Amino acid sequence: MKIAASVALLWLTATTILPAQDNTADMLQRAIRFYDDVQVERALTLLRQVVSPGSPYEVSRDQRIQAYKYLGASLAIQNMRDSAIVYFRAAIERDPFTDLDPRKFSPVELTTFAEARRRTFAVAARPIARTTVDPRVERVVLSILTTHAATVRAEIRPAGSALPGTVLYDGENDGLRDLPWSGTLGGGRLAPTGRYELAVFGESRLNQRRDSTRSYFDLLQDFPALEDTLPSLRADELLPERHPPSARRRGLANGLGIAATAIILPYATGSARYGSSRSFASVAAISGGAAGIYAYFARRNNLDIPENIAINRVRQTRRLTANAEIQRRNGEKLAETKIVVSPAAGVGR
Amino acid sequence: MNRFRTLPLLAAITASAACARLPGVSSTGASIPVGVALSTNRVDHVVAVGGNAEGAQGTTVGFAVSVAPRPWIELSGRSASGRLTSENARANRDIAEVEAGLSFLVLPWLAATVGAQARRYTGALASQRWLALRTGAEARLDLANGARGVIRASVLPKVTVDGLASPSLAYGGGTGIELSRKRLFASLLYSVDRFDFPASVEGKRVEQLSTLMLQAGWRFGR
Repeated sequence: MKIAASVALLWLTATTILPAQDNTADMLQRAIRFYDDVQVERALTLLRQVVSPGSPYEVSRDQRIQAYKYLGASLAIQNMRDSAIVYFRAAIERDPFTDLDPRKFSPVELTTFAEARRRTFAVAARPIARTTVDPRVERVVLSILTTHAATVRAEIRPAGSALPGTVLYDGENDGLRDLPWSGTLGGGRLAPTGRYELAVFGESRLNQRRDSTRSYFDLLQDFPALEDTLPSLRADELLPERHPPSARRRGLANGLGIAATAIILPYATGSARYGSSRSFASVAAISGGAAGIYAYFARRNNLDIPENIAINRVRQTRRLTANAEIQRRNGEKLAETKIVVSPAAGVGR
Repeated sequence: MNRFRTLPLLAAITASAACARLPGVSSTGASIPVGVALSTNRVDHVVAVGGNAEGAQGTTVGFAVSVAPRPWIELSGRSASGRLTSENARANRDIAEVEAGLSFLVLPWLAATVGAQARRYTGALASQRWLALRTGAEARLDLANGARGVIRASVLPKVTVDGLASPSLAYGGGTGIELSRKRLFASLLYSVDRFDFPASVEGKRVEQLSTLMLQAGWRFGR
């Protein structure tokens, strides 16, 4: 007895978690086939089973919307206009992009559906499909919709931002509207990589009802790898631009050293005994001593090293020139930036 | 004209032609520094044999060129010629010399030098050729505002002299100052070379060449 009860419970559970969608899809297909074959009563029976709260099968949002749409169409054919409008509205409220193909549905159904749209006010933004565009020549096309005549404002801004966004459209609308977007924000600058929202606000012209919606998407700037600019010159890459204070005494000492060498040299080589070598040495000694004294006084008020300053300036200029060239090349790469837009669920990260 | 009198001129023409082919002196933006200079030299040549010394003095003019392909290395060439006169007119002689050298910095203020030189004395009766190799060091002492001092010391390990045995000892020294202002440079250098020859029956022979050189030039390139 216990075993039989357990088996029964297992069977019940299994039927609940079985791929119910397949059953719903099968029922919907059969219902649509009946509808196409003008077996409206049989179609209605199946469609009512699909949307029934008592249905044992899982029904997806799209399946439910389709069931409501065909219920409305079927009832419109049967001249049950008010009921048809109720189901059409149920479909429209769940998906404002719901529409009837005029090649498939009759004028009566289309008229009834139009009335349902007039009685229902909703704004919608179509989820953005993943796409890559070159913003110089292409546009991202964003689609918005109002179910009937309304004033509408659509803007793009970073997700979660409280600041006003970039307005894509602000004016009258009735039905579907494509909004081409160049990928730029205010000031014409390309939107940086991040998550964005397309916010749509509308107010009905017929009943002054208001509605709004948001559609989130991720934007990625896609460009070739950029070059790094050269870092600032390190201290060891620059020459000292000033002599130490001891340079004054060193200059004097060097000059006196030259003078001393000039005096000693004739004696060291033995040439002092002959000829005019000593007079040559005297000239060299005087000039060396004078140069040392000059060095001492020249550096008393100015310890700058002009040669090193000039060389450092050349190095700095070379670096700046190289960086300007790198920035120019990077600018060219950035000018080739493509933007990759892909849908994102939920609010901004 | 004595062919040795034309040596500086030939050297100047050769060096100028070489400079014209170097990128360092091209009109399109030089990179290798090249210096060319003219010099005038006061020369005192003393020959002492067995205690008797005879001197000859005179002025020579010359041309010099230097190339620094790297900041730490320098190639140089120099030539000069002129006439030396003595109290004894028979000892008057022409002098012509060329010298090539290579110096490289071993410290920011100290360079090692090697070089070769050829010199010819031409008198009324004969001429004498000297060939020598030189190696040494040069201290470059900072003064101020483009001025620096120079102290040189060298030995001449190989010297050959026509008609004489090679010197048993040959060495030299020098000192002076160099000035540089933008591309213009000038120098005043005093140098002495001494050659001690082996003793002979006439006694010990010593030759000395003292030079006071005044040089001015122009630097091309970087």
